[in-house]
Amino acid sequence: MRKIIKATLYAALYILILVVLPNLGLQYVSQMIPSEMLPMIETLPLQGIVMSMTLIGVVLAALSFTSNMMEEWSPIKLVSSIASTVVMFYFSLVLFGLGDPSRMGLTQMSVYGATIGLDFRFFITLELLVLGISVITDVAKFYFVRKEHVASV
Amino acid sequence: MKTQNIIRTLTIASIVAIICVYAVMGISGFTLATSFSESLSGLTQSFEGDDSELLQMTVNLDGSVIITMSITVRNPGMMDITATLNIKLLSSEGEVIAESSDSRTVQPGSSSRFEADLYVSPEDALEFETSPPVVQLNLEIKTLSDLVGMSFSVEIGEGEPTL
Repeated sequence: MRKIIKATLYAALYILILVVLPNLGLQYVSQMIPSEMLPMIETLPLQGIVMSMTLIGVVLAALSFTSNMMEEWSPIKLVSSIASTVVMFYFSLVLFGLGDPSRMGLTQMSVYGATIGLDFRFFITLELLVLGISVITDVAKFYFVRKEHVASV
Repeated sequence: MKTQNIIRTLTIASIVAIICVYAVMGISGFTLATSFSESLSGLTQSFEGDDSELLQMTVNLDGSVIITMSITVRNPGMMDITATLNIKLLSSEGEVIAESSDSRTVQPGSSSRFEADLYVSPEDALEFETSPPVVQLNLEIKTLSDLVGMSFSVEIGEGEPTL
């Protein structure tokens, strides 16, 4: 019972942060942003970014629910944990590419005839580092827990 | 017990590493975003104003022209930034007539005035009367040992040598 509550709460947190809040924010963006910043905001594919966030949020919530419902030694928990990390990395690609993950952190946009360039490639490298650390930790944790589980059976 | 210790150590080490990575990203991202927006708002105010601060033109006795562009770059962030102001004077055909740049480091909480001079020969200056040039401005701000950055580029004065 405690497990279901924990799994549901974590999944709900993902839904709240990545689905509910961005969709609410999109409706009020024109009121929250200063008027001089509006032309810049209008050039961004906000609708597409929020749609990606919604999809990612739903996928992460499902993966988090699965992961929290499984036993520590279950391979399904390992797979869902690694999948969550990969999806998070994809999410950072979407954010740093302003909606287009294929840009890999190098983006250009036009605002009133001027060009604004963003070079966040190093952040993508750091996100890859986080991905690596998380995957190594998940695999190592799974290895030790599985070993202990097999020995106890 | 040994397994639990290993798992705990691994978890703590990975959490600390991930927090460090996100702290670096947060601080450098904040520095970059605030410096860029503050410098850009100063620049747009110059555009909207009388432009006397942004662009100055001096005509010498021999007919040559010196165009001076100056921009104030502010750094309200928490890390050093490297700002580069680059200006090019392009002919109507897109050829580079003159180019100049100014680059330096701006400490956190301070501002610096960037200036770049373009020298235009009397012959090129004479041609401006028939085919007006274009000034291409490029402002680049980088931080975290120049690993992340934002840039702004615009072409001014299409058809107008004076701004």
